[in-house]
Amino acid sequence: MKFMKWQSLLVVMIVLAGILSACGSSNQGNEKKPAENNGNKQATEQDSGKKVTISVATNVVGEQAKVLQAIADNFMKENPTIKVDFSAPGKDYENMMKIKMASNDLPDVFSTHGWAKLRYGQYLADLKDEAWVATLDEAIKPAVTDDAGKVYVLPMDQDKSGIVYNKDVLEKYNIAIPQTYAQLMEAAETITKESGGAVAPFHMGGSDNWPVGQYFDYFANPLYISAAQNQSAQLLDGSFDWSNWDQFAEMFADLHKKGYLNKDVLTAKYNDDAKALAEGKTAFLFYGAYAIEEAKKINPELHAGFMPIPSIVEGDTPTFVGGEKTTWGVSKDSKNIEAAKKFVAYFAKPENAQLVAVSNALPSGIKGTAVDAGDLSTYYEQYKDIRVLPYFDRVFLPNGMWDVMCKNGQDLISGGITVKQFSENMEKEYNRLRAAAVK
Amino acid sequence: MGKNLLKYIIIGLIVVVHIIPFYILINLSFKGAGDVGSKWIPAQSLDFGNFMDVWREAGLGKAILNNVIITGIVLLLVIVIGSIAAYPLARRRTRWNNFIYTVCISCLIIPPLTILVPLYKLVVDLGGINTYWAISLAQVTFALPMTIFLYTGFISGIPKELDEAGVIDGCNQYSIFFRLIFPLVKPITATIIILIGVQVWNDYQFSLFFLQQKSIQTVPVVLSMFISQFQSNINWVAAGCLIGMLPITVVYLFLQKFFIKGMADGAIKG
Repeated sequence: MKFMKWQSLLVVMIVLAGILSACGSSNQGNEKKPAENNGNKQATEQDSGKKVTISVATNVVGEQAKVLQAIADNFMKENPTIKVDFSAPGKDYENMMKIKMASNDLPDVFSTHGWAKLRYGQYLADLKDEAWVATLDEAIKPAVTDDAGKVYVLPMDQDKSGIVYNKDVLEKYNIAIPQTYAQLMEAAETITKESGGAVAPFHMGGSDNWPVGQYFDYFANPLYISAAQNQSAQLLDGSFDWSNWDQFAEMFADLHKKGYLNKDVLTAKYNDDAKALAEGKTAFLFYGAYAIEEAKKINPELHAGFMPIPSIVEGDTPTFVGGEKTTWGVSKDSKNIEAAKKFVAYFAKPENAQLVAVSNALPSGIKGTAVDAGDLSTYYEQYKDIRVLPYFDRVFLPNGMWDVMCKNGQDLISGGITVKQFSENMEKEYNRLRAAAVK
Repeated sequence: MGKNLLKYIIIGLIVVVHIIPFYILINLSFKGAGDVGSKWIPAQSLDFGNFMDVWREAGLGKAILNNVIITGIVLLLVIVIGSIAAYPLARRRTRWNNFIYTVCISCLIIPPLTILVPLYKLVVDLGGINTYWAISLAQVTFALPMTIFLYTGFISGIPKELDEAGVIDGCNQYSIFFRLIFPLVKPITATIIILIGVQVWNDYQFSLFFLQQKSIQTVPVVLSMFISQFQSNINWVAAGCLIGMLPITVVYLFLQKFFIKGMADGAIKG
């Protein structure tokens, strides 16, 4: 009997040790020790120390990744002493980077997918002395630099997201491009009524959860930030009254209640959104131009357009959201930092940055290159004077709030929580994460 | 008659439940990118384009080779180390052996992912990223507890008299094990080849972190690059999955009769 106790105690101890070792490591991750980059070490040894290998990782896949890879191949041709290990792991890129940050094993060069400053900032080398800094487009500068002058990453393009729409559907129901949220809702009402529910005004891949967050990220700006009378100061200093969020949550719940969203909103995925746009089963999507590119793969004949986000507050004007999109940052602990910087500089050449921007159908991040975004160029040209605001959550919410916003949005339309509870959850997490960030 | 009918209806239902995922997988793998019909609707034409595209784009040939190498190394080590470790644990039930056995079994309870970060750091420090040995050793570590558990259970059920007969005939401990015991535990070996083999073959989490260079990645990892937040080529992934599961399916069919016996025996004789 005594023996059995002994055994169970042992089992418990081993399991605890296993779990604790996992917890403990996150603290160790903050210790700054030079990253040991093995891919490099081995390769350099093999090549008798002359040739260096840099590891490069990106979150993009498909055509965009191919363009990056092709430019990297050209770089290797011109620089025979530098070998580039290119990896594009796909959807688990973020998880992989979190593990790599915790163990100080970041690639020499990596993309920061919108988080250059907040998440990756402390791991990135300052690129302010690079020659290409002078050529950066003014519009993108604030997203990749800070007040102290640190340049975090090279932005090859700049995100400019609004609402994409199916032109044929809007023409069919005789709808003009909405300038305000009220007009957008009117349009939705017309489409729902006249199509008898066959066309969903808005299509949302809610099971992926980030498309839900898109709605909040898009309309938080016109609601709280962009108008002359706004709440940006309160959101930044923490004095924001979260009961204000009720109205926002209500607006979102209404979309679902009134049948403006696709019926399968909780099980559809992002891909279904692009598909619905391609097939004319929806009018508007809350995505950037990338959704049009995706939809055109399914229906090359698609007539799609692109518009700014309508205003909500009286007297305000429409806006875009934007910031960094395709970037390269250099790990500050990189052993081959010179080679890594050279690699980044190669992508900063206007013609190369242009290739990347074109593959994303976005304006280039480098000055002096015309926007060549295919059919979309006309829209970028037409809306060139529209304000581009940063994504709401990246500026006004602490790191970690994005998931809270997405999950609560899902819960709201599935009926799991009420509008009030949504606001309460937001307030609670906002305060908790803010406090954690200050520490 | 009525009883039989009910039986067949239930069997039919179970068969349908098991076939549906395969139907969807096979159906998706034949659908072209322009075929926007639901995944339930049969593909418009039998198009092998997805298979060819994914083979070329993902470099599946190399990936399958990597799978074979890693799975092979892991199975070899697991079977040799596991069976050798299990033999004394089953034969000499001393306190110390019981202690070792308990340690092995309790490792089964640790979810491998909880120790991912420290393990990753260790592998980085040892220079094991993008090598066969690091991923193989990690897999062996997580596969051994199950292997030892199964072997110990099975060997306990083999009469000790057999060992004694071996001793009388002049065998030493080693030849008793390799000549008498090991051939007898074939069903368990087959079970382990299938259980651990499938687990290692399909492993995604560890392979994703330890194998970062395309030239060394396994099938699940190379296929994952076709799925991202903004785009996914599910038809290619379906085709790739079908190709990737063929080798392991063949092995399974080959070892199936041993597998069922091994599972039942190892479970009863604990």
